[in-house]
Amino acid sequence: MASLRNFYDQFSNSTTLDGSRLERLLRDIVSRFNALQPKDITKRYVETRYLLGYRPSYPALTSQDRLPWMGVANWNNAVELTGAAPEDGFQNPWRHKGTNLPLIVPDEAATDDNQYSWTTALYFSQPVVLNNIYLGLTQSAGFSGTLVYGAAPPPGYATGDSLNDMFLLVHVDDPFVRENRDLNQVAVYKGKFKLTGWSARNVTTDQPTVDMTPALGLFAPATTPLGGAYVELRNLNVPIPESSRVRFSVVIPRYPVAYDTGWFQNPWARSIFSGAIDVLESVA
Amino acid sequence: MAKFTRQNLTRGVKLVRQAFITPLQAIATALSNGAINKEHLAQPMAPFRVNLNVPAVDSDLFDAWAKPGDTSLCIPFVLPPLQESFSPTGDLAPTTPIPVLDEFSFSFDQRAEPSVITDRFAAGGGEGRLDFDADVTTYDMRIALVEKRQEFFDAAAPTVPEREVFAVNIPATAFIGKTDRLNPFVVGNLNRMINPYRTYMLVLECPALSAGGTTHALVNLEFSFKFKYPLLARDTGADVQNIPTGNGTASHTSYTITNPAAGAIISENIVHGNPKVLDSALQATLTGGWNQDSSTPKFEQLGNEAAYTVWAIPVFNNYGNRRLTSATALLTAQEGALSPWDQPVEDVRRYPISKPFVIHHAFACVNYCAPATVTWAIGHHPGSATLSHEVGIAAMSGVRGERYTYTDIAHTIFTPEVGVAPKSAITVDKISASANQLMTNNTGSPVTDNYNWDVLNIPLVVKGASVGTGYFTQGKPFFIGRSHSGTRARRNVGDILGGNGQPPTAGDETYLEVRWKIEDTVGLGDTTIGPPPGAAPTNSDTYVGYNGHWVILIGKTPLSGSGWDYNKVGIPV
Repeated sequence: MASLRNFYDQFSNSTTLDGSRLERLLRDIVSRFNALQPKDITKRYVETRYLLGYRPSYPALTSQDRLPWMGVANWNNAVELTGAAPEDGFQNPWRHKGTNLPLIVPDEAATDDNQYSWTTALYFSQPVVLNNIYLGLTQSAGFSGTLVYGAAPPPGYATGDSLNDMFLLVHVDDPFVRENRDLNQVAVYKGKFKLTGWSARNVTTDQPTVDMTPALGLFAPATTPLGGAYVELRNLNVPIPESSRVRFSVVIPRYPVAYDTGWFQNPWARSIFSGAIDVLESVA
Repeated sequence: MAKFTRQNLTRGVKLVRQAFITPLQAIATALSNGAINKEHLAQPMAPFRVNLNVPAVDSDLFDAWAKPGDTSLCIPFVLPPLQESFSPTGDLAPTTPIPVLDEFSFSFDQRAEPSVITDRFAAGGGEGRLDFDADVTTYDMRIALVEKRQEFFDAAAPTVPEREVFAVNIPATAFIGKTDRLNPFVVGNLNRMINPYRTYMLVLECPALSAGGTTHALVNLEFSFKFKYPLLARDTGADVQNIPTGNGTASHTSYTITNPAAGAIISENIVHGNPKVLDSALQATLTGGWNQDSSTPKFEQLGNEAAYTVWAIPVFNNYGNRRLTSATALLTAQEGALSPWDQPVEDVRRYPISKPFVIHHAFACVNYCAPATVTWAIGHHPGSATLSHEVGIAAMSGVRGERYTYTDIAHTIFTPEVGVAPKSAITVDKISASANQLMTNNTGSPVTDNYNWDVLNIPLVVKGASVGTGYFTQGKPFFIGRSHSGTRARRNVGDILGGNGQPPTAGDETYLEVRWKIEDTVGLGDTTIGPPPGAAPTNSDTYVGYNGHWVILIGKTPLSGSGWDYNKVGIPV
């Protein structure tokens, strides 16, 4: 007969059978089933969810009122207008890894091209599994971004091509040199992908068979119903060690004014942004 | 179910069935009946979090701050028992599950530099820039979690906090070190008991943001309260709205312990084979609960395989002029509408459904806070009889799918007290951040209310005569979850009129959508100033307070596999 894998004492025909060994076996079994360990259970995690949200203050606003979107690079132009750069230089000239776009110099000149980051930092004292990442760009009558390049697309793209310049990143800080972003580990990277591949509907003017209550008015009239893109990175299974600092960033571009893109010149104001980060945390 | 017990065996004692077989049979019976409960687990609690994401806090919130409590960023939430444990009188029974606050963490974005970030009022319009010359105390802050009795259970409950659950003073030096910054900032091992029938509120004060010549902001704040909660049994039965037609009923397999006949010779089959039955069960690992596709495991051994969960959904956050919307701030806040702004202002939030989620309660937290520094932002409670808020929560199918439709989950319309649907009919609580708060003000307002937030119940839809339990009349719990062909068939659901029918999403829901609509048929704008109650808005009527409203969903989610655990059709469990 197969041996017992979880208990010390084994019995078989022709071996001794005494009270001490039986007592020990019974004690082991009963105490084990009175205090089952996580390894005894297939489902030993709970999914907890971080929901993020950002609604632009008003679509027409441009340079101001865009926090929490801030530049991806820390250069001299990123310093407060009446202040000075640090004498010993910037600690992290680049906040993220792998977000370069050839046409954009993110130097934060007042009216120039740039890339903007919405970064959320999380802390996990216990190990977790990063399971899902989600970012939604809800577009409607008031939030009139599109998912394609316009009449004057950047070089390499044609009018109507999908936007291909947004980045979703999850960085984990180095455990020893926590403030040096060069040493960050890239846990999730989704960049340079076609946003139209994640569009909510292929037919952007269709209406739901049964709408929910309340129905929308000016926000999404029949001529411009809710649309946009919803990026879902599911079942990622990225293990995050204990005491980790995790940074989820969404990076969007603002092109030089010569180019016509679905981001326009106020990319943070053309969609309602919704985000979710799902992690599996162990029962406690 | 109680823990397993046994008789002690010692040498020289006659080996009887009760000493050896009975305890093994008790365990086998529990395995066979799916009755391995939290009492049998070394870790009987599950974590849940209340996560609050705020786009930014500018200096103007603290312009009027002169002493603690004057102004703050404050957000309330509630953690009531689920429907099966809910007491309409708010009595804590011995069996009422109690949340325990375990950990708090807080973060904001500093652009990865030992620096302070400027706000929109900074010199030269330099919002979101690095300020290395700022005063060292700029990011001195105090964060607290406060508690009060709920008005629903105690009409005499004050609107101000009665207890501080925990508070932490964080010096700015925690955030400006070059070698290490405590951002995220964490406080662990709090171990604070939470009363599920009380209202809680996060309060943050950072008054130095508005000090000095250059003003500053806290950018993209993330607050995370981590709680522990006893494991729960999942919802089952045909009364659960939208549940797969299997009703969540568990299937079991039999674990058989061989009972020797009287006088039989003790053999390997008895002393080794019987323990091997239990040993094999452990080797296969025990399971239970919903899978990701709303199916249930083929055989289940666990009886407590669900966890309390909270979704805190920001609505209208960052909306309007200076992150709030009042009667005179509409000019820069409403899409496409013109004076007198008689069209609704609306917000929509969509979030994907990952694991099955059984919604037991829904709440709308209505924010009236304003920085108290400019005329149009002194935080009046609106008093127009024709003003209405309408909040809906629905399951949605059709994102990159064929069936584009919705199934309503919860819905409410409420108005000021002078209106046709007074909010008092669904009021759970009213709360302010402090007794001396300046963020709402009834001076010059026809409404005498002067507190920061309403916490209102959004009733779940009622399926015919199947009424659930909660603060006010509402439906039974509502299941949402992804499906495969075997779990698409669903039980009937209610609708906002109390109907009883098949869900339009027909098991295809992949998203949850929240809509909030604010409308005044005579116009939301400042058409007259200082009218009597029930007339048009006054100029400071605050429709959306500083950094928006919240919708809070409370329910159950199943325990989950690690992500490497798949069922036989390749779906993560």
